[in-house]
Amino acid sequence: MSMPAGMTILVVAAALIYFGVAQRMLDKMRLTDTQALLFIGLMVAGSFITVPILSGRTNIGLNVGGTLVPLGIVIYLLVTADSAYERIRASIAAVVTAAIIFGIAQYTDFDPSSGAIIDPLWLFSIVAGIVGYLAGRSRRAAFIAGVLGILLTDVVHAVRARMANMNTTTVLGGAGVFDAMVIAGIIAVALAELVGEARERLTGGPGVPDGLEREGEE
Amino acid sequence: MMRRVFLLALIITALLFAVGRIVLAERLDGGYYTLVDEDGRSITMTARHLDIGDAYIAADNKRYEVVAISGDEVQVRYTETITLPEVDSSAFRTQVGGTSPSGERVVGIYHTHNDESYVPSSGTESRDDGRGDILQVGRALADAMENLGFTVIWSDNSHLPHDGQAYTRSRRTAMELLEKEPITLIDVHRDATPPEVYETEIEGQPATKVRIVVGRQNQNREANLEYAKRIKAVADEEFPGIIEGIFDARGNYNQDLGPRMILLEFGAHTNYLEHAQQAAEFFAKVIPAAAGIEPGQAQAADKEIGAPAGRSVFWILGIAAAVLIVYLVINRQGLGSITSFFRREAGLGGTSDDDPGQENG
Repeated sequence: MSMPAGMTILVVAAALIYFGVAQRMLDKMRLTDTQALLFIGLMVAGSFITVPILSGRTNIGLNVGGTLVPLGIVIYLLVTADSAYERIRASIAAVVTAAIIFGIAQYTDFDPSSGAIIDPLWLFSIVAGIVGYLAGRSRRAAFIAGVLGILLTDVVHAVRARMANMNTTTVLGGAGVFDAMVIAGIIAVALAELVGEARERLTGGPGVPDGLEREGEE
Repeated sequence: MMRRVFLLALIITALLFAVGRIVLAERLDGGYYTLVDEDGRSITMTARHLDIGDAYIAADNKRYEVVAISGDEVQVRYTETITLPEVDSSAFRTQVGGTSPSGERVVGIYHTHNDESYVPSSGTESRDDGRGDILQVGRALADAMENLGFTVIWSDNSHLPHDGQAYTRSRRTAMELLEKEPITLIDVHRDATPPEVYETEIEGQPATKVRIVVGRQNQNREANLEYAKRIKAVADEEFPGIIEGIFDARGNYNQDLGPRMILLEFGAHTNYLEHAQQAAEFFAKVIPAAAGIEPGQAQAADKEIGAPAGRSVFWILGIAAAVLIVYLVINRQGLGSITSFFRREAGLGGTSDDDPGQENG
């Protein structure tokens, strides 16, 4: 969009905060600053690449920045998880998140006339954050739940659409770095971080030195 | 472990309860709410469930806030009469006369709910094949704007089914359209109210009214609300009565993706498609002046929509700063750590009590 100064500043400020928060949140999952920046760079660059998977009445595609890169991070997190138990918990969190999102999506269309209280973009992210944190009590589980939660519901939709030969277009992660999948992952970690830290601070904490990772703890 | 399972169950129950409330809030019984002011006057009707605090700018520019809801009656309180921006309509007339706009200015149109249809015209309110009547309304808007010399990218991408993830899917279409750098992006819908809410006659022709919806839950809300007011200003001047009102509604509707992203509702399912198409043809002349696409309008539009955008920057930065400070206080035990955080971020060195992720930073 061609834009005047006020709008340009608004868009740039929002983008900078978004990328800043994204970098911080990746940072919180045992990724170094460099790795976090690299992943964000890959997501932005990958946003411009969409690979068609199926075409015809049911159009299904896959955006590299919005799907493959966050999925790569999820796999990295699962591989480097402390224990098999943690991996299982994170995976269960992802499935539960997907199930809740799918359930909510069947109930309402979030149209202006539906009276929905909060936009699905934010609601689904919050669901992922709560479930991920409760299931794993960890930022990484929250991220995995957020990303995989949205991805799984998209995949379920794509399969159902294909089977029903439905006239629809689904590009997994199609909005790239601004896709619901990435946003859900980031908000989920932020929520886990804020809630987790506040709770531990209020209850005196688990006795772990300040700033150390607390993933996988009761 | 049991405690966690219990907590999870509690959260899921709460979420389902919240969603249940949303479902119950939908008027599926064919009924509708009537907005009534302090003096008992009926302001408008809507099938939309309203919540206390919601705002509605009526056709006469009076702004109301919902204060109480009782049965089908929604009590609203008059807050103020808003002043619409002054949009010079001389440029509008020039453009209507056929002058080509200067430069290549693009408009994007898409449909989140591409199944939406009009019962009196096609016998159904929703088409399962995704080729709803609403596409013809979007097409009418696109054709009319193209005839006026603008470049329009119209997407008939289907985002079926019409469920809670439709906006997530249409977000991808919106991003695809944004790559073409449109000056404005319009999500064309129809409402679900009794027909009389939207029925009207403009310049002797039957047409539907149009309701503008601005999503409140995003950082571009002020810029988009200003844009909505500009649309109303131009429309009131050139096609009096065509605007039903402006909803400053809960939700986001993908309007976080940029300023000048707007949702328009052309009539309801109980109105005629042909009337909605007629409204779209009129609207094709309104959008360019409001968005500042045509000669002589760009500067004023940029200034007016840019100013609230500039204001939004301050509160975004304010919120970001507040969240950062809360986070640091929680995370680092005390205010003293904030100083060390900023010292370290500024490269002045600082304490090493930070998270391990910072080691390479």
